[in-house]
Amino acid sequence: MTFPVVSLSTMKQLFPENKNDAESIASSGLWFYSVPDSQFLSYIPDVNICVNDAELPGMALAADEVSFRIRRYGSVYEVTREGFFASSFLTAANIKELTEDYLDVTDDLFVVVLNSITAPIMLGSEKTLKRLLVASDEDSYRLAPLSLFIQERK
Amino acid sequence: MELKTLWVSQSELEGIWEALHEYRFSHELKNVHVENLLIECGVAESRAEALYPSYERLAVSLGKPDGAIPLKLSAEEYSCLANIPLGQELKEILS
Repeated sequence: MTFPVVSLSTMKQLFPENKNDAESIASSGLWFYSVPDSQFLSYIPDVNICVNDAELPGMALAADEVSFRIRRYGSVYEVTREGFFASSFLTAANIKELTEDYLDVTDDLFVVVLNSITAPIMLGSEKTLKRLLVASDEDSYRLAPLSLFIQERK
Repeated sequence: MELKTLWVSQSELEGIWEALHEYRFSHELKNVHVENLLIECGVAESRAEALYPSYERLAVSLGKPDGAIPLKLSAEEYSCLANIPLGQELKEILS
């Protein structure tokens, strides 16, 4: 079973002041993410995630499976695809199953989305992510349990 | 919470991480500041990437050859770190 995680409508809710940009970014399919591989502490091998048809304009999601890479960076996890941060691909990724199978997060998994198009979505425990954002303005990010982003596909 | 920013390189961060772990395993009682410092070490690089996109350039200005990572520490955590056995090079960061 596949669960969408962050839908385009959620993206728009996350960036209410910037709906057009959110749609534009989502429709491009990729957020550029340029952190060199060498800077990551450890890897979890590529994982095939079933990607169902996503209701996003301009996205080539015909393939049944897309390889994502979950990378552990300190105690925060980031999701990328072929060197790019795949924010909009998260719309249809079975991230719940992925995290249960591959991430050693024992607490409830939280998601943080920064108000920046170049920043990755980050996954981690609430405690960890709050620590990461300890010096950040509360208006500059959205932090929520992953379960809030997950809606079972009909 | 008022925070102090301590700029460290990747290798310095690893050194602090190891020192914290050594301290943790050699003491029976859990020290909340040590636990928080370990969490901080775990998230510091992600913070640098996500919130300080030009941190590599900053690293050059700070003379850090392998990146400059901001550790955000409370006064109590800073004091705790200063009292943990660290190598001379790491002690100099705190001075």
